[in-house]
Amino acid sequence: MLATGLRLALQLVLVILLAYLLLAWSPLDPINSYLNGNLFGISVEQKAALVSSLGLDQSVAQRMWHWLCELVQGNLGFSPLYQQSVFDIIKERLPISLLLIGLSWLASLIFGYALGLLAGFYQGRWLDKIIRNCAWLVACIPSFWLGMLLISLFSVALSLTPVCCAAPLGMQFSEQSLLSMAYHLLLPVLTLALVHMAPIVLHTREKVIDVLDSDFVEYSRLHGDSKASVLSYHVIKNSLLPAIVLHFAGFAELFGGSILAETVFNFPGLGSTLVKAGLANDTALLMGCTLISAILVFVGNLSANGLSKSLLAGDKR
Amino acid sequence: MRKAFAQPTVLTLSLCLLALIVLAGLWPSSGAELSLLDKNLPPSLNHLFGTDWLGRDLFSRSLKALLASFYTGGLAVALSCSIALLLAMLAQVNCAARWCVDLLVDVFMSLPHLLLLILLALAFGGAQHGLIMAIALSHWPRLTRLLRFEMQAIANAPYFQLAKQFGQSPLTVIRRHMLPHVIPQWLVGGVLLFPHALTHMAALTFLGFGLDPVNPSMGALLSQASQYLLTGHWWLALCPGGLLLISLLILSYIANALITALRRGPQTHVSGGEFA
Repeated sequence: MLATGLRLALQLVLVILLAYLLLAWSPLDPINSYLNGNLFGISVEQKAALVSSLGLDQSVAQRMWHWLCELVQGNLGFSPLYQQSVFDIIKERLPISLLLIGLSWLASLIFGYALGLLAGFYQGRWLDKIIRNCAWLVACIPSFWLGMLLISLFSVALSLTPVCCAAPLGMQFSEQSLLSMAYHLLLPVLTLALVHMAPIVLHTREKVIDVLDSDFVEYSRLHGDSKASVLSYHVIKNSLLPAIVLHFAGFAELFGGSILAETVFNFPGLGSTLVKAGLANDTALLMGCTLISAILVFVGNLSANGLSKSLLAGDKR
Repeated sequence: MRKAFAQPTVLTLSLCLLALIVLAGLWPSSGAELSLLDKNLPPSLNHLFGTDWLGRDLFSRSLKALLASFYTGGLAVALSCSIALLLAMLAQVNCAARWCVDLLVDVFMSLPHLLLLILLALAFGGAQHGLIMAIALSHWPRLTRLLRFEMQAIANAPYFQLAKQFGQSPLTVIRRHMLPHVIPQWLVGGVLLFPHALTHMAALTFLGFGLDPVNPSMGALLSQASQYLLTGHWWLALCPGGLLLISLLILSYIANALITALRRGPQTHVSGGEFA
């Protein structure tokens, strides 16, 4: 357990270093993007001052060391794009993203598991075929395209849902009522949950078929147990935890999906901020977002690891 | 592998895909001609996919975009597969190399895929070669892991141990006794990577990190369409995306059929790996 934890922590550190090196290696000129391409609008002295204030006159190693030292003290740097400290930006936007990701995580787990259970139980029938083909179709659909279709169907053609953003115009996310919050979250959560449901459906189906074929289910059937009791005693007990483990391990992909969903739905979360920071070449903000997402993935992997360890230990007992 | 193509559906679908590519390549119109008199037309017989806000025929544009996506995606996947094979072979050298390769795979897999793509695209300065490098350098880990386990299983097999003990050079042993078993897995892995690469490429371009919007590519077409979504021009998003989705579905169907054939096939004594 400790060894896996240490290894995951080592991965976390290496990923952050890799991300920093990649950004430092980028040929895009930070000064140019800071000035919106208006490179000749400033004098040589102003440019030199800017270079030293952005820390570009130091070597990559010096900058990285400086960034790490600041990081240890809890200072993530200053974003030229928003003219705000990175910590404040993340503090403001992370909860919205976490809410979005968490809801989609839960929704895809619950519906995916239920559909997988159904498909496995009715193996080979038309219901199973429909569910399997739908899962395959949904797994192939690009998530941003699905989001666009949902917008043009539900928001534009039927005008049932809002067309963009996380709150009514001129309001902060937390100021609105719960109902309005749900109203704005509906489509993004639906998009994310649909796209990430497929693996869990297919995995649960396989697992359920395995369990139904096993000797102990045969034994319990011979003893006259009803289908419902087989389902609740054996099938769910043996297939729910693996599904949850798989779902924790898929956390990284959910975060990646939220980048696209937030951009399509114009959601002011961490994902859309990350895209804006990337397009504006705002290194400090991009590094902050990368750090947070790496930590999220780290936590997801650690939970999956811990859960599967306890699962194996339970089997041995 | 031949068995997979003997199935009528797989054969038909492959021919359909091929026909689509040939049609896209030979299509006379480049889709760049403006005709402001018929702008924003919904789909009709004259314009199968309708026209956009400058009166360009969306069908020609989508076909050319698909062709461009296939070209870039194919190049990127070929690079990515080569990296995977090289690293998997490197992992066979000794314990330290194996540890390093495993760590590298884990590190690359512990960032969200899309975020890694964005970072790589920025590092290579965007544009077409940036996009290709980003896709190539971010899609290898899963295939590498699969190939590594596959090779490990072969290296533990008695016939491979014997071949090594007969004193042939390590390179010959790998070439004659390992590669023939791994190559089918590798090729199928490449086919399976292809739809992923196309989706990620479109996503990256959609976000603005990839290709120039002037050249038609799937992501660029869709990202421009998203600006016209609220004015009710649904066909700008639906039609090119539908074309992309159809090719993705065909590709993934072919890849799945290949995997199934490979698992059942007589020539692989090692069980086929699981792609998630």
